[in-house]
Amino acid sequence: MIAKTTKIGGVDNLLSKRPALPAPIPDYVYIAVENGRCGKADIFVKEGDHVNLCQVIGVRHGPFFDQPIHSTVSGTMVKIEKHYHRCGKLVNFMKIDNDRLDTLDPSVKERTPEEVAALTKDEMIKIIENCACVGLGGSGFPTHVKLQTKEKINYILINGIECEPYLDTDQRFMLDKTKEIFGGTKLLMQMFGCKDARICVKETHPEIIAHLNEMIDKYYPGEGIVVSPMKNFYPQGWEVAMVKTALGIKMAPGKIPPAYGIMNVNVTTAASIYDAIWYNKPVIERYMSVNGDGINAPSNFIVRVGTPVINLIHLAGGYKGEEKKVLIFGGPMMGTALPNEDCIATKTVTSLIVMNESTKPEAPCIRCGSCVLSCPQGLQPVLIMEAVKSANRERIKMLSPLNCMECGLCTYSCTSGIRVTDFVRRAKLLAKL
Amino acid sequence: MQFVKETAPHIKRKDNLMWMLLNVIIGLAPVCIWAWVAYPLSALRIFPLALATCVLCEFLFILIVKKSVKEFKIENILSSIITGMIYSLCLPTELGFASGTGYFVVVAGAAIGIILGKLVFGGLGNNIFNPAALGMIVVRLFWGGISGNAAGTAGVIDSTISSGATALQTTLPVSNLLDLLLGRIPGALGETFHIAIIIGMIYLLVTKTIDWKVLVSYLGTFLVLTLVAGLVLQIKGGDNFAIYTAYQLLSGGVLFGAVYMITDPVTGPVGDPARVLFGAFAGFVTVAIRLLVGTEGVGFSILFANMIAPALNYPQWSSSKWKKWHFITAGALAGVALLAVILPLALK
Repeated sequence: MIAKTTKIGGVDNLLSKRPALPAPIPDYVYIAVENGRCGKADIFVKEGDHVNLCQVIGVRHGPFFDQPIHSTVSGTMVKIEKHYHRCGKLVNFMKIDNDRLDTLDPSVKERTPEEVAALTKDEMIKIIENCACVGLGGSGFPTHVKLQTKEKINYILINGIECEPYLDTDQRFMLDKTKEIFGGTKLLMQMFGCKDARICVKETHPEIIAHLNEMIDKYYPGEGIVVSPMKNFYPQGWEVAMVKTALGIKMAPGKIPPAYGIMNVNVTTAASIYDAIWYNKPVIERYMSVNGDGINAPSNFIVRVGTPVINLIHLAGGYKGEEKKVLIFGGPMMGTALPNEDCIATKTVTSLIVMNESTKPEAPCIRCGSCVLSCPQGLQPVLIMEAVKSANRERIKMLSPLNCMECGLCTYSCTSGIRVTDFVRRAKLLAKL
Repeated sequence: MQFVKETAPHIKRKDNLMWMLLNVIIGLAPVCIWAWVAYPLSALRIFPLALATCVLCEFLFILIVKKSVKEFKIENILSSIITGMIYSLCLPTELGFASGTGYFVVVAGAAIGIILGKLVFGGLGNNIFNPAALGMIVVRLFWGGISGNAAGTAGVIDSTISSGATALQTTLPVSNLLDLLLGRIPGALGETFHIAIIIGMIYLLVTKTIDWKVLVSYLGTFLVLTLVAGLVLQIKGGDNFAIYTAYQLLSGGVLFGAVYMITDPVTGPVGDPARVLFGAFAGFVTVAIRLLVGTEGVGFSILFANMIAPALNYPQWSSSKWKKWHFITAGALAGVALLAVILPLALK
């Protein structure tokens, strides 16, 4: 079929219509020592030490930032074990025996409205850094680095779009945690002295738009926060597409939103900024969708960070069918497949998708051009693939594969079922050489 | 439970190559049915031979190159069947079967078409030329003389066009228009009954098996250029230009080539601008050959356009969005095309 893909079809997603279920806090939680962005870390606690909830138990060293590690339960540090992290690698995890008391660390204390109003931008960024706020939409990029921009910010965009199929966490989160989201938005507006904030919600969720509008009318009238309905296509949640729909600004490839006076954060990140600044509290639990065609009872869960994935699979009724399964952290278009169940839900894991293995066979490319029609960046994946196959670096560079953001639409729309995105990833490596 | 470690994305669109190829066969079905009903004797001689030759060549190629029978998949069978069907439908109804050479001509054309047009480049998905068009051209060039139509005089070249409008003929019999549309003329097996081709075209467009941009730009260019030529001829005292254009469209294999051959994605470029330029170029070559050489130009124009497709795919030039140079090229092509059509006719 020679056709442009805009919607990922065949998925009825109704998880956000039902309340999110609190997942039981496990007996042992696992806190990642390293992660995809930080390869080195120092640990401040020994085996047998007692730790409090939200206590800083270590620090990760990234390429240009340090990130404190917080405990998400109170209890006893047991040992360090290897498990799979959401980046797909086997990394060290601290195993903490949960004493089920949730003894709060003294560092967690509420600030008064006067204190918050008096905070400067730099002070806020320092608090956010100490609470290890990162992009909770899945990127894991440290929020304090993002907020340190020197550009003049005119618009705050709060991203609640979640355009990937099977994902429905942010939709439910917006219904449940409205106060935190608006609070975080207000703090961002205070930080940048900006008067225009937009909460971006897909137009296919009128109930969320109505709920948010009601809350704005009730608590935040005339403060410059509006709900901006977004179109229903993939990848609407990509920042370039979101900025275009919300503000009509067309971003050039390779530019970031602050260059256009825009600061965009995920709804979950906005809520974590609220928790950090008002309560000095890091992220200890998050909303997670457990969904896919390979699971019996899909649902949204409120998950304590550090819960093993196997617990969530049992909670969602176990695997459906006998086919081979693909376990995905993140959405089915851009998420990482994990080699087995021995993995841990960290705070950047938005969802666990269990898919049955795709049965679409791989056939020769017939240059139908569906990938070219579908690419949101206007690249030509089929030509990139041909250039990679012939290992022609000059040709690869001419096709500018570095503009690719790996949305996966080329593989998705391929008539012949070829993993075109893999070739584009290789082209990106070759073009950088 | 077993787990699969794979790279993102983890879901794929529901369509697949097998269905796309099956859709082409379904799209060809109306024309095939017409051919079998109208010319049962010719169809009985041509179809089995051409299809068997194509499938056998593909099978031997897989056996020799891939060294495994398992590599001979359903896609290979379907694509070689499509080649065989299109090739059969392009052949004239009478190929000298009485003397026995006709059988040889059918097999030789099919074999040369699929081997030189497709298999030498690496088989399905790698070919530069449309194998069916190449096979048809080979038959016309090598055996054009021996393969007469029912009257026994006209060669293959004439049999597709002499019955309709010869390009430079200035006065045309009006009553023939309906005969052309309904295929009540001698000609190629599948090219004459245009109703069937239009049904197939609608099916292929609805199922998105062919890209409408190539089809529209090919037919559009063809129509505009023949309209201009018709106007020039009318000014010089010829027939009504509208009737002339209709004759040009309905005679020969223009519609058949536009629907089933030029739209073959493998032998065309990718990206919207390249596809439009590709179709326009093929349309221009068709008209130029018809007007300047005076023979049917569809097959040649498809092969010529196939040749420029790799150039349109050249990374530095190709683009999925319309750029300035696309318009400049399109404008230059239009200028050259109009000059090439008007000048010889005006000076004649």
